[in-house]
Amino acid sequence: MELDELKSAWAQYDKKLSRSLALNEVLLRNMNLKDSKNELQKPMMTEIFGVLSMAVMTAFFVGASIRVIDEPQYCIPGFISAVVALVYLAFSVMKTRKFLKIDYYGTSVIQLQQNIAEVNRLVLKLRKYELILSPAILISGPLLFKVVHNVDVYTNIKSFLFAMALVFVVGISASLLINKYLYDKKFQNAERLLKEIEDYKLDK
Amino acid sequence: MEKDQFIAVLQEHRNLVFKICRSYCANPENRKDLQQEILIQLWKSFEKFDGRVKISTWIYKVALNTAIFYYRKDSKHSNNKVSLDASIISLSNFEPDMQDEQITMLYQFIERLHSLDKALILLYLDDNKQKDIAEILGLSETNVATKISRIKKNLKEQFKA
Repeated sequence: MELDELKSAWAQYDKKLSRSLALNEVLLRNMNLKDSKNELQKPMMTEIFGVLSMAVMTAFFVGASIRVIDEPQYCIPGFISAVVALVYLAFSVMKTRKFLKIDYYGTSVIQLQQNIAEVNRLVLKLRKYELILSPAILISGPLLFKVVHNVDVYTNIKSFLFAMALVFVVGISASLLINKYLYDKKFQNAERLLKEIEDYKLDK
Repeated sequence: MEKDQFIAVLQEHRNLVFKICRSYCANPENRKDLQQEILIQLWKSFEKFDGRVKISTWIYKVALNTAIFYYRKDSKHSNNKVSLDASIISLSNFEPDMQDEQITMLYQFIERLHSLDKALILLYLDDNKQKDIAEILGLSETNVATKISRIKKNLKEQFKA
């Protein structure tokens, strides 16, 4: 059977569909189309929220560190935390920019699929680093206790260091395991999909 | 664009949406969800439609993109949709004939194709010009021709077997 023979059968089938297909207008009118979101909107909103919250965090750490600038035991961890928050902020900005560049309705099919695959790859790649970096936020402990609760963690330094070390070890181990068993695999799949689309485009 | 105009456009192109859903979703339940997703995306995209391309080209792009995206993620993810009891576009008084056997076989063949090849073959079967197929998919015309001839060869071998 040749495809061109099937093409005429397909044309007949199309005519038959025109006679038999019914559009349920009542159902369509009752659907809340205006409030629906496309699949990319939710992760994009998450990233925009990430940009805002990390900007606030960075400003808070810088501000709080400046308040205790004469006490290096608080302001140094504070400034380090601000740098960590700034890294998170930079990651969120990178992801948001990629999301915003996607023209869901104006690009060709392959270009859109390629753009989506690229965003997915970037998100997964950065999520790995975000996870690895997450225990570093503990550094803000002394500053937070001081500024928020007015508690000096250095008076009981041993227990504080023990708690920090414990949370740090658990945090690092958890992030490594999550990366190994979840994100590494997802990232490889994203890479494979992107390569598949690129190969298709170039007809390899 | 008002809902009335949208419905009128959809009425005219309902076959196209139906065939895309049928090709990307073998399961009728999932097909209902995909149909809903495509209609949502078409509605959302209509305010951006500026008439620079044919309306059918526009519908193909949005519907195929949604179908491919949906196909890759699988249907379970769709949490922003309300579960519908009925299909928005459905068949009624469709009497099967001899030709339908060929169409069923053709759909089975399409189901086995790569998600992007599915789009290509649907556009080809719907008698779109190579130039239009290239524009919708974002490929060169030569590439479209090569891929179509490869699919033709593949189909010939499968139907022979």
